[in-house]
Amino acid sequence: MIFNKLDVVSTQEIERILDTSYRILEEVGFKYEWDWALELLEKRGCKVDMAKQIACVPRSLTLEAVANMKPLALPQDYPKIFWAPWIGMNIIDFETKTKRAGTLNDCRNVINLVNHLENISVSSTGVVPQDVPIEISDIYMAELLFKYSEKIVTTWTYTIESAHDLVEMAKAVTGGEDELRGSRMINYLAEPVSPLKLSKHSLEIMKVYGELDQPINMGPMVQVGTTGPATLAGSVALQMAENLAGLVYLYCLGSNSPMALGGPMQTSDMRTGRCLYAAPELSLIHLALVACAHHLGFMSGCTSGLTDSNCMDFQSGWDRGLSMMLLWAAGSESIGMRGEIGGGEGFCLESLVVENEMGGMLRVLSEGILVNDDTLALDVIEKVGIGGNYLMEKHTMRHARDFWQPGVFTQDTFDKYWSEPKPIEQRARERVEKVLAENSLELQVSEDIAAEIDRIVSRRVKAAGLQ
Amino acid sequence: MIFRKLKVLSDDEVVKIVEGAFRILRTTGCRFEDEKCMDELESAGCDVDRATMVVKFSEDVIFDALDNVPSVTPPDDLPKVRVASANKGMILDCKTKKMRPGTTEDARNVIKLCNSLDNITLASAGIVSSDVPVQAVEVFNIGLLMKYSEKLFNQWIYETENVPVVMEMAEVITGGSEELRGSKFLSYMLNSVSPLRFPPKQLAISRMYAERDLPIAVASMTQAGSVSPATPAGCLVLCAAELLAGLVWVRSLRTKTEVALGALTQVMQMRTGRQLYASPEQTLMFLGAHQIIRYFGYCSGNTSFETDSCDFDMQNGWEKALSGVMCWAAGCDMFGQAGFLFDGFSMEQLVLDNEALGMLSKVGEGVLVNDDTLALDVIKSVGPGGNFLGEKHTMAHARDAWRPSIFQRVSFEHWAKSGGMRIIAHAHDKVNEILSSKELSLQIPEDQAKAIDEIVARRVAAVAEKGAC
Amino acid sequence: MSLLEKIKNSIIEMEPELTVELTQSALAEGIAPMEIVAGGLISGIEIVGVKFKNDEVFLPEVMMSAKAFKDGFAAVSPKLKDSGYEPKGRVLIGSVKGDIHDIGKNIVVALLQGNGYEVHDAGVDAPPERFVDMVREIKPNVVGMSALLTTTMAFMRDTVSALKDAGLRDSLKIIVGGAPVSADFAKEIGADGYGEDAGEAVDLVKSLLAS
Repeated sequence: MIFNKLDVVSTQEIERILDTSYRILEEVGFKYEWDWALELLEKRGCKVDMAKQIACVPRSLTLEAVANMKPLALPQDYPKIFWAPWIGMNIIDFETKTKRAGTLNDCRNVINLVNHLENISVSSTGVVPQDVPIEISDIYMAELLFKYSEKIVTTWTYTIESAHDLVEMAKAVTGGEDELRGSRMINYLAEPVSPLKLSKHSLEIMKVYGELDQPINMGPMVQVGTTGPATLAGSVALQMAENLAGLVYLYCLGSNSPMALGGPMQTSDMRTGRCLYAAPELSLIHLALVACAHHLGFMSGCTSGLTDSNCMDFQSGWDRGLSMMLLWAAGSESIGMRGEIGGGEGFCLESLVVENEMGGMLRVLSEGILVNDDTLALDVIEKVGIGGNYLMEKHTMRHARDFWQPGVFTQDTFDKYWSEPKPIEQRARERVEKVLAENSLELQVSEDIAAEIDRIVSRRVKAAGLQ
Repeated sequence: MIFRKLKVLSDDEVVKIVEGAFRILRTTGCRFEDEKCMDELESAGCDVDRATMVVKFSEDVIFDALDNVPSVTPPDDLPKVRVASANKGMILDCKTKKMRPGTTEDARNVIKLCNSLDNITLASAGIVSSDVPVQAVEVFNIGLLMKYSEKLFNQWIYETENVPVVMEMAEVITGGSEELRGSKFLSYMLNSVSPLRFPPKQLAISRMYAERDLPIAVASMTQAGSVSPATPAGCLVLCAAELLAGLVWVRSLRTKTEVALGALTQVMQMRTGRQLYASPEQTLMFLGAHQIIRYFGYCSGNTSFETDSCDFDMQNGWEKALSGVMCWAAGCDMFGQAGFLFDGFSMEQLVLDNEALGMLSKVGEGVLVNDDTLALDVIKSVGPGGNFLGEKHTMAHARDAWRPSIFQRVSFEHWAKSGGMRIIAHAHDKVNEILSSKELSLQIPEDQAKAIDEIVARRVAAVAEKGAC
Repeated sequence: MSLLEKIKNSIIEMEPELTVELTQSALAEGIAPMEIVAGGLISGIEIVGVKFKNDEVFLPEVMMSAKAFKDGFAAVSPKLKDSGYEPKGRVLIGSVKGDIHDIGKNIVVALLQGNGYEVHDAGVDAPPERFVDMVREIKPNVVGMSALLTTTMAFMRDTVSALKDAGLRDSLKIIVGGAPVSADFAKEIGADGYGEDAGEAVDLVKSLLAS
């Protein structure tokens, strides 16, 4: 059990940040770029400027929405920590130090790999396939995930047309609308454009998924100093305001979607303007964000486990470790968007394998220290007494296999390691190749359902006039 | 505000473990392998068996120690992240990837690095110089540290004969035996040998420190599976028992010595029996031990921030975070060894660790919440869809953020084009940069330095002579 | 299953009490002591050794198998005296002067005993003189030294010199181990071998005695 935690803001400070968020929505307003949504909000008491498409949300409505929307809870069989691989554009190849555009085959490999990585509980395609028309690549990603993933999935939805197609596929998998309603087939990441804006297509997609009660994670991306104030507290207040703007909209829709609040905030290198994937300030704002989400009774969904390093060196381990440990210590339910390397440069299968191993270690931490008569071992301690050893005790034998065992991490001695050095990239590569060679991607749905999914995909390809 | 209160045990569980330790001390006891300890512990009210040197403890005796032995209070001016530079035998040659014996030049270089690296709180000489007679190395290193370190330092002492020499040196610096008394200039770590033993030499050396009211860290070095039970909870029972036994002995000396308690908890690699430097179970035990030590009311330290990786790779950085960040989040007062690499020392690792700790230190500053930082007016003036780049508020805070000194923030293409270097290359450059641009300068007056040199020379000569016999 | 097979399995299954019981039954049934050792005890521990090398069994499990071997062997050894049985080899092992850490040494002792070697323990904080005296008395084939600390490592060199000075060096092999010790260091001080963990120490003794 984990008790208490790391907090970077006091309850009073959380309330002050949230008070600022409520004031932002009420006094500055939020830009909903869809007249239908604005009219809906106006009916619920928002002050709306239709010309500017800005709705000022009264505090009372925000509080009402917070009180009534359902928080996303982890299903019982979820591990305490779950992770979704990141979805990027490129695949990184360490051997050649190059990156290239992702393909459908890469997507299949990622799904196959994630099926066999025991500490990753949410699947994605890792990359956007670019050997298919990019504007409908989301349909292909969904197709592969629905057909082949053994785990809960997360993916992008680019357009309202895609949203309708995804719903149709999900209905085929679950068996119908009622079954879909109670499921978590589509986990949508709603992305306000900071500061304080939701685009028409995002609002439309939220409506489609929201009306089917699919889980919605709010994912605004306030960047400290560019799309948000240069101070951490202000950026967190803005990020929470954007979270709440989505929550209010869904509430007014009458959606029963379970929600997670948080999102991937960003900082930038103030010298170069480069967006940062790892920085102490980044951890601080995410910790504050987790605290705000928890204070409102919602599960938090923030990013962590990222790095600015382009290879698998000390920096990449520390960058990821620092942010993941801090979020874990703060009691965040979701940790890591994984497999990414080099400040969002690309997806890397080797990295995902190593991160899976890290997840295993975090899982041991989450299990905590078991305290009972057997584990306290008082009788054994008395029996061994002073100056003896525990190696030949039955108690030791029984527990010898309790301990975490490394896969790609090494516990070799210095001399042994350097006599035939095999860098972590290579060890991870071997693991990737082994998993992919030993396991073929198998359909997780019936042939009929797969055929139905294929039909939806080809219909869309035709409709879009693409091949 | 930062609240570092991560806990892995409930209050009830802490009590259960402590009660277990009380039972072990009552039934099994602990062996103090030093004659004098028998008198001391008997006078403190312990049940002493002189033939076996086994001492048993009643609850009253333990409570008396807990009530009366003061805890060390870390100086306020130390930063919140406190990590010592490691103290090892061999040093890594970064180019050849070979460990080689350290030299006096290495010791000077490590001190130079410690002076220059902001996030290393306690300095050390890093290595055991192979060009100084081994029994005098401790004295030699302490001489160097006294002369050149800008920070408090950390040096193990194994040789009883070296203690009076070190005390004499410390008196030169502090001005005399009365000035040294009760200061924090020197401290010693009394280390149990699990299960339930305190060896003679360490007891004798500790006594010399305690007699001068110098602080003592009582530490327990349990190892799950070999010298301790294979279950973390059982390991913690043994750890708590050894810490309490050490504490009662310190109490029996009736000095003003302040005490810190430490967990040097390890896990044995169950496959081979090798000692591991990093594992999730070890982190859990560090966190559990910290809670127990706090329950006793003491300043707490441990040997986190280590790695099993022999390379400067992703595993190395991750494992440092696994134990280091967690112990920090739990509020440990002192954790870790920087520069440590597979039972040796590496200057490059020290530089990497310093960089990593810089980030953690920055996290420790927390999130400042006030009208200026909440920036409601700025958010209002920018409005939906704008940007904050041109705002005065942004300018005013543009330099607030932590900036790396070696960590890289470049694009993949740029990185690949410029050779695709791992961070170790930058760490190595940084080491060279510091070593070539900085000079070691005396931190004490010349006459004191001369006196220190004389004492060190005397001890080195004495050891050499003894060796010749 | 034959009784010898059962003895072998009891060692693989890590059941010392059962090994002793079965060994006694085998003796009672009149099976030759040498046969019990070779066909039961040793064939069992050899399988465990292979499994250990392949990471199939963990150290505490190997130690328990070693205990089963040792206890079984103790049950049969009084009868062995007349049969001309010779142990695989005689090993003297200790932690060098200044070192009070003995867990590594103890693991090696147990594994060597569990592999049929006769092992004598020089204990901890053992000065060079103690090694010399014990070598004179026991006449081991191999001397093993352990150190955990860099500062005590130096006494390994002193012990090698002391054995040389006493004219005993050439009659035996010297092996070293412990956290700060390396193969290079072993070579430098004139030792014959270095084992990086307990499993390697057993292999090392085996190969040194074969050569």
